[in-house]
Amino acid sequence: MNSAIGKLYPSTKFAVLLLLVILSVFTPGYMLQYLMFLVVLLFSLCAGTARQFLGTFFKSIFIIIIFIFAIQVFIISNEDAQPIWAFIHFSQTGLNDSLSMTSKIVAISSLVICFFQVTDIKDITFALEKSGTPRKVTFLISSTIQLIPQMSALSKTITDAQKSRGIETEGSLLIRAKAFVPMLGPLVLSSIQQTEERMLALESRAFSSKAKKTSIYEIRKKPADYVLDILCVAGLIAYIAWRVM
Amino acid sequence: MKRGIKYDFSLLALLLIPVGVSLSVVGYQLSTILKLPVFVDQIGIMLVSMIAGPWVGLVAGMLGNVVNGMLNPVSFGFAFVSMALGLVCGFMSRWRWFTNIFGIVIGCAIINVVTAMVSGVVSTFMFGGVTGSGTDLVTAAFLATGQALWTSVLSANLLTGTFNTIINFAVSYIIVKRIPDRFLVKLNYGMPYIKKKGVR
Repeated sequence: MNSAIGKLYPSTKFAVLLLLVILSVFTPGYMLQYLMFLVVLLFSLCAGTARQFLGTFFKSIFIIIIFIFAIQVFIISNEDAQPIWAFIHFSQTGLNDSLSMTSKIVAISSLVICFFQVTDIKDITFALEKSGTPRKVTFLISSTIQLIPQMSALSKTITDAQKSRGIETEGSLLIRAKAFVPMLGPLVLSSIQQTEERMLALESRAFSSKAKKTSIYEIRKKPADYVLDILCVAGLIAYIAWRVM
Repeated sequence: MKRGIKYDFSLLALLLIPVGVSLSVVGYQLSTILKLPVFVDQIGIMLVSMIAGPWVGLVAGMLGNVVNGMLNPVSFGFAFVSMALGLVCGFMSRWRWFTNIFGIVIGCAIINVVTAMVSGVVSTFMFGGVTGSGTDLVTAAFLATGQALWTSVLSANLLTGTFNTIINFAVSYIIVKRIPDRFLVKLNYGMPYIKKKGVR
């Protein structure tokens, strides 16, 4: 996040993301969309997140794309299907369909993955708050992101504690399923207790107050952000003009 | 009783949303640790919508998928499924369906049908019938028998969804029953689950 791209203002990054998503959704064919993957890869190389980006991409999107190809090309019975073996056949329509579908998925999801890897959640919530989003919404987003790792750590502790008391986590399906509630129950109850405490803490710090609040964390728009914003709008107008003509 | 969206979002309900989202994540992790055949990843949404109402459930569902979507953008598309689940489950809880066994059975069936339909629409139109999970193999099996894409996706979702819904509902119901009364009274929708007689 300390790279030139990472230091941009969140809304600027979002404008670039939006422009590229619009480009990949409304351009026919699939070359541009697959090219978008390389563009995003270039971005993340500049931002120094290329390894994370590739890791996330291949763990999530790549699998679903393979599934789409397998089902659309070999299994769905289109009219032009040529049988290969038993229920497997090859279909050109399926191939075209899946090319146009997967190309859009690849483009949009690589853009989204890259956006969240180069943007700090803290920056996003700050920018949202500054643009007038209710405080409750931004609080919800940031507290959810913070709570998930806490809860999984707590669940690991509870699992270990229950194991030391002799709960069975291996064996037949029924035994394993029975272990589920004792592992989850304490987690829910303790997190509910924490919820009450957190509510008191927030109220005593005037969370519900309507007064304007200041933030100890500040980020500002730099000249580069304004230039990029204008470039994005210009790019969008140029694209619409080119598509309409 | 006066009820509206603003009434639903009390500070306590608001604080329950992150808990629900992370419970779903933890439930998913636990079911992989215990190597269970179904993913118990909807308990958080069900729990929150049962005790905090339909609109809070809807937001919890959406937020859970958005948080997941930061790592795996496919789940942005399936946010509609979680939102529908939270909404339907919350309304049933508001109508006190979950206080008797008959209501629970009918409620589970409706939840299953609704989530299967929404998930079918999303996966057919956005991902060509694929969800990226084990359901795809069932879909492929239906397709191999020569059925159309839409019917295969829907029947695969209904089939796998039945187990999923029952198990998710059972776990979240057991947990709701374990929540102490003194917490339930503070919630707008906690009344049907209070154990002490004479309060209702």
